[in-house]
Amino acid sequence: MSTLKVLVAEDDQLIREGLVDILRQEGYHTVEAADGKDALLQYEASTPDFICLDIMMPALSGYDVCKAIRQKDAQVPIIFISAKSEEIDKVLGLELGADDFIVKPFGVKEVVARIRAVTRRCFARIPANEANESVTPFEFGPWQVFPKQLRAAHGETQIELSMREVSLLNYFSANEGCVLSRDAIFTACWDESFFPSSRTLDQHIVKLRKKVETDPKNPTLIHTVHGIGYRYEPPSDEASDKKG
Amino acid sequence: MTKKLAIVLLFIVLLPLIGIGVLSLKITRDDSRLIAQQYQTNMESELQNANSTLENVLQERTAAFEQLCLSAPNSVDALRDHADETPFVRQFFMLNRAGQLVWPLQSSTITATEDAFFTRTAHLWRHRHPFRSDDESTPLRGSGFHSYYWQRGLHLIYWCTTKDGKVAGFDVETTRLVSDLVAALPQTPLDAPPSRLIRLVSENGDTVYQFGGFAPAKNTTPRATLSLPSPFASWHLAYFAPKPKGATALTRQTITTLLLIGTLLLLAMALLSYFVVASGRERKLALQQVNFVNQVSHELKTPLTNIRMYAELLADRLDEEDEVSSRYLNNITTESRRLTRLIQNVLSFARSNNNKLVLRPANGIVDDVIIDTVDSFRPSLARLGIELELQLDAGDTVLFDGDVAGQVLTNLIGNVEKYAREGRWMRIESALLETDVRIRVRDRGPGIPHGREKTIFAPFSRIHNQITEGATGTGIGLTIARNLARLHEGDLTVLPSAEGAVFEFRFKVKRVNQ
Repeated sequence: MSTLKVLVAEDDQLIREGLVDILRQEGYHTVEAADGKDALLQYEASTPDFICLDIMMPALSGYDVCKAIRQKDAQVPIIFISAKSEEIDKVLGLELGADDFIVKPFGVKEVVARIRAVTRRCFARIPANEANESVTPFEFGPWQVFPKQLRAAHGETQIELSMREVSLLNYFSANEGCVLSRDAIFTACWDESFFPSSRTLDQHIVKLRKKVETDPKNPTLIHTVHGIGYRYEPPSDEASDKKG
Repeated sequence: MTKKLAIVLLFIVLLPLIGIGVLSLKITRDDSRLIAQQYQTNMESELQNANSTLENVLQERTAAFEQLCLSAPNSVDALRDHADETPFVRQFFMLNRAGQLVWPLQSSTITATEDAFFTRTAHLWRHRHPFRSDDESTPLRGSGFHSYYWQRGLHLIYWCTTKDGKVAGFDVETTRLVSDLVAALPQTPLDAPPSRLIRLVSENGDTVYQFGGFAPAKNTTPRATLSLPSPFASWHLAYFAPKPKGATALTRQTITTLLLIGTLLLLAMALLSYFVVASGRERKLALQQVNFVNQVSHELKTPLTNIRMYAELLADRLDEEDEVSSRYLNNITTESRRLTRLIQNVLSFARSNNNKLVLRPANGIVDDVIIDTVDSFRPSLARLGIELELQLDAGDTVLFDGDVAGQVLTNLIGNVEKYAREGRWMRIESALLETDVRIRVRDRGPGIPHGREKTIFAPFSRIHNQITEGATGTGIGLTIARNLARLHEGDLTVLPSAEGAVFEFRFKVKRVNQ
């Protein structure tokens, strides 16, 4: 699945780093900027798929950055993340062409939910004829996975997925029955510039199992291959029926 | 105070004041005119009276003079005797029918008096004298005075035509006549008030007589004058008086009015300035307060974001088995949320004090808001051992402001946490009525003391008793909650209760057709 690039413009280093961690965990590439001018430079250099923008930044405010970006691109989604919570701040931000407004202090779940919503809009803009295989729906065990919607459905049940989780499911699905080494999974599903630890992969698998397995403690879809990695075994029709 | 208020004040205070001022001035001016007119009338009336007196005397004397002329004897000696006996006559003279002076004549036998008469009246006889008819064939008819001036003095001749066509006349003893005139005028008593002075002034400007208690300064112009009747037409009566009382009062009244209006205007301006300055200061202070609160809130929000975000990120990475660490992180997250609510309360309080709270209704389910709010409290409620009961019956989609409802509920649940924790029980009920939503929060705490059901909503109001002592709180939670409820066209009230406290939060909603 193609990875989206996100520009994070925030002058507070800790918030910026935290947001970058959240985004990377979700499966995005990230570009950082510590002030408004830097944000514009990074935007020119990296052409991100969407932008997280603080309002009160040195050199150039988030409003000015938003205005400058909108003159060049009316489509790229922009999310304002700010401590300014007055009605007028939100109205001004949205009038300048922002797509969403997150007020500090925010919870991780809120940020993730809003980023996923923007991602869905980004994918929705991609014309069907330009969409590659990675965004076409596929099956994973009993689940029908919809990459463009960051969702999977099984009967009446629907689950929310991150981009990273969609990538992992896609990779497993494409290599069903094969033992996949940790390195292979990293190479396929992680950014080249990011070197996650084994623990990172394990945590993702734990979360994924919680979502897709009937009993996450006794997985039937994603099996651990000790010392090597993981293997995806699609269930037999009989087992699949049981889960449904 | 706004500019609008200043303009209203201007219209309410300044314009009527100016109107009253103009009206007062007009009334004062009219009064002044009236008084001046009355004063003038009085003066003229007094002069006229004096003049009438003089006229009467002159009429009497004229009649007497005519008799004198008509009864003048024909002989020289008799005429001389008659003149000596009559105090008004200085010298008789006779003209024949042709108008020629027949007596006295300049000869060696004339007396000194007659000679003096010729000296005084020489100019009369030198040319055509006034007692001769224009037509020499017709004798002059009539009678009257003839005035002439000699040695800077007025002299009079009285003449009349006799039955036989001659002219008899005499040079009048003017001093005596004037003396009679003066005697007819009023005298000045010693205690005469200094209200006025009337002077009889001769043709030379000399004062012949005066009466009245007023003493004008030298060269004072009289306030009124009136010419005397003939033959004293070159004399006049002059009226002197101090500045009329009315006129003086007029000026004082005008000045008083102007001073009063000026003072009132100044007061109004000062009041206006005070209001403008005070309101400007108030507005500035309010703005500073809001800016300060916003700034402080902003400064607090950044570290709070980090605390919450990193606690959640860390919790996400923890092994499920590490329960202690999970609990610690959960506490950090819960407390950071509490701090967020407190900051939100302070911000709302500052905004409500400046009428900056705005309603943002959107379609939603009230029960969802209740559940979300309660969920954020669950860890702390569990820690405090507070049992939670929910009886929710507002599950339809309605148009309302979820943030406002959530914040009110947050304050109510927060109060149970702080002040009613020993009751260890809380029940939240919701009901969707026709146009309202009703939420009730019950607890088994100490309840609201009787008589405090309304005052607890006042800012910074705290119930100081043994139970609440030591409990934390800013004292603005219920104030904000009630302000928000009222913003949502509802209210927050305390219901009577046998046990604990019951708060009822009502607000208007609009049903959404699904």
